[in-house]
Amino acid sequence: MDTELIFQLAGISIVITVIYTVLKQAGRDEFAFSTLLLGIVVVLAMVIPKIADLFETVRSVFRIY
Amino acid sequence: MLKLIGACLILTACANFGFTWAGIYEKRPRQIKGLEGALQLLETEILYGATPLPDAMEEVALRCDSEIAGLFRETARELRKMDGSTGGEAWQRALDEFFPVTALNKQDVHILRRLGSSLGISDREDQAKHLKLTKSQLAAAASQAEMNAKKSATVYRYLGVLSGLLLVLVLY
Repeated sequence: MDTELIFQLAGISIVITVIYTVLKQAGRDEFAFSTLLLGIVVVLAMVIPKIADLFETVRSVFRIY
Repeated sequence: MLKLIGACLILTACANFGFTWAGIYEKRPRQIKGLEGALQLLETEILYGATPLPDAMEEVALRCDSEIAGLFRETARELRKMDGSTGGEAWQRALDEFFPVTALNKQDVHILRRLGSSLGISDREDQAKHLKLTKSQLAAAASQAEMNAKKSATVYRYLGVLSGLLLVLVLY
């Protein structure tokens, strides 16, 4: 049970939001947008293995497929 | 415990990076203003003192801002080598050596290069005119640099600290 992941994701989202806002306010819109995309990729890379684990667990518990 | 120390190190390194970058942005207007003052000194030396170019360069190097005195000192050294190169070539060589350690960007160096092509090949009044032209161009660049610095310096500082924070969170 990996509770730290939730806090990690929350922290990353907050920091990315602040970076996005700071860059947008400074006028560098494209840079801000690419940082946002980078953040999404990083978060996905952290979340997808857990989802795969979830499906594996469900499959082994219920032995349906 | 070790993780905490590593996280602090990463945060400090990234924040330092951001702060240094912001510092460069803030140094540039100061150095451009120093260059203007130094060129004014050079103009005075040439127009009213009729000093030969190497001596004039050394005089200016002694009396101007320490950050850009190196340029004039280098030019004086290149001129004193007396290896048959013109004043303009000595100026270019000194500029190439000296420019990487300053906070000036390509635009400013381009202005200075144009000055080099007219150094030492005309009479005093003409030299003074060329120097005045360079000074006015530098003044325009200085005001633009100040605007840039005000906008970007805080942004780079924030960016430095925040990306440090991001790296710490991702690598936790």
